[in-house]
Amino acid sequence: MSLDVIAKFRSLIFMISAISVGACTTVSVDHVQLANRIDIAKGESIVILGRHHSAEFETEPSLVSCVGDRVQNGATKVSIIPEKEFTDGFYPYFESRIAPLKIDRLKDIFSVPLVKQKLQTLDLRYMIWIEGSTERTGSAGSMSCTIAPNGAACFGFGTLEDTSDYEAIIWDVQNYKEVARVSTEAIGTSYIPAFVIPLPLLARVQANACQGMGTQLVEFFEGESTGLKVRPQ
Amino acid sequence: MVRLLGSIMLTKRGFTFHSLISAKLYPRFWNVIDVTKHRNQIMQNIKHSCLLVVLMLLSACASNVVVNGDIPKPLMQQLPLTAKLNFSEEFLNYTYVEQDKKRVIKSLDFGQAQVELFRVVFGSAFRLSEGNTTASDIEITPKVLSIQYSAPRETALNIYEVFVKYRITISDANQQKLADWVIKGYGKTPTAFLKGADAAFNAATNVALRDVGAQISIGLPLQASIKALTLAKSFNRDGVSTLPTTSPTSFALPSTASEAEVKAARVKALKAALKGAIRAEGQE
Repeated sequence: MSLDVIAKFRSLIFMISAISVGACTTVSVDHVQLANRIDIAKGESIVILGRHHSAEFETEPSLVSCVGDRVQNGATKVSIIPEKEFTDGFYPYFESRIAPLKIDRLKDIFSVPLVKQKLQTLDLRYMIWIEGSTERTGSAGSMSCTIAPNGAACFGFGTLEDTSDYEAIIWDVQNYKEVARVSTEAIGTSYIPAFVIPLPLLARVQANACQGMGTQLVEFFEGESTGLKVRPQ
Repeated sequence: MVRLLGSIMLTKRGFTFHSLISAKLYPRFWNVIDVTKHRNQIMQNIKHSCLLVVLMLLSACASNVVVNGDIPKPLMQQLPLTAKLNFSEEFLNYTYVEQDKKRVIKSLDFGQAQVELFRVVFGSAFRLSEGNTTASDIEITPKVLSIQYSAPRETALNIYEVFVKYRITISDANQQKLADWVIKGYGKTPTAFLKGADAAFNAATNVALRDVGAQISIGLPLQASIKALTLAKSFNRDGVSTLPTTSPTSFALPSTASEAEVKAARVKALKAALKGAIRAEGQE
């Protein structure tokens, strides 16, 4: 058997084993319901906002909009106000430096006459604050890349571990009460085998965290299990 | 993870960045050859490869960032004062030029964005007087004191940060300084949802400017001098304050009082209100 055939056979085995390993994510969702019922009437709206006050992390706007889309698709009677539309409309009261961290402070903001007036047009019932971020928690392996006028090629194998840790806090803005909390942790490992062409098998950690959190929020607002399942991607 | 550091190897097909894999172990793959035999071809390949590498490195860098302002109108009660904004030429065309060539950006142009910020915010707080002919109660002069930024490759954090510091001088119509206000704005934005450093710096600068705008919107009506001016200006001809939020304040004047007498009474009330506001601020 020639060396070429052996090399091709080896690369085939390498590719097949890399694909079969695949990228995987583990998602765990915990929730605490502090009110007996989380009621919402048709036409009432919800706003989902990301926390940006901490220097240690920055809640990604993509995660906030993903959870918003998920809740909008799952809970039919709920109307979601986009984060930017809300923060622009109530500027400057929900900027990172000024946004209320406690519900008592929200009461003060909503008692400002102009804010109160604007609030009446929205029929806002719940405000959901999402805090957390997705971070790279580990990486291993190595890869070499060659660049030449005829083309480029890479060789090697690497893994990346990402962790998403988010908490959603639901405030009832009509009764000024915290009604529930949802915590989501997702850990995923991505694999990047490269033999001439890198073949990234990326774990969609943030997307899975969004799905887990969104599904739980939908269950809160629909009042029962919606049958939506978290599917690892 | 992709390691481009290490020894550079000359081959017939170009040159290779080589990190961990030894050419001795993979002679067929790397195709190591005698340099002297193919000198011209190798030199040409080196030139092409260098060009490729330079293009790749340049594509990963931000260079001259122009910030597009995105400041919403603040939700605030307009005060009964007319203000004039004094923007210097330097402020109108402000561009931060990076002296350190190793850093991520060459320049950050946010003159237009900051002018928009101050127009929107002070335009919501006061009636803005246009041109030199219109009289105004106060004059506002902003100045950039400093700007700092950081990119993920400098801090190892997954965020772009911008920090901007302004000095805002407020003076009355007679050029008497009423307030000297230093405001710091901070903005950060994650790298994940943004495609390039330009967009990231644009977003982070906008967040920093929004932060400055938020502090002005909240803090301006609470400034002692602005409070006093607002109170004095709110007295109507009958000597009654028209401010809805202030406690009943009045100065007694007969209905036959002349304009000069009303003006004098206003000045007196202004002085009293200023004293009261400053005293109240001292007690706080």
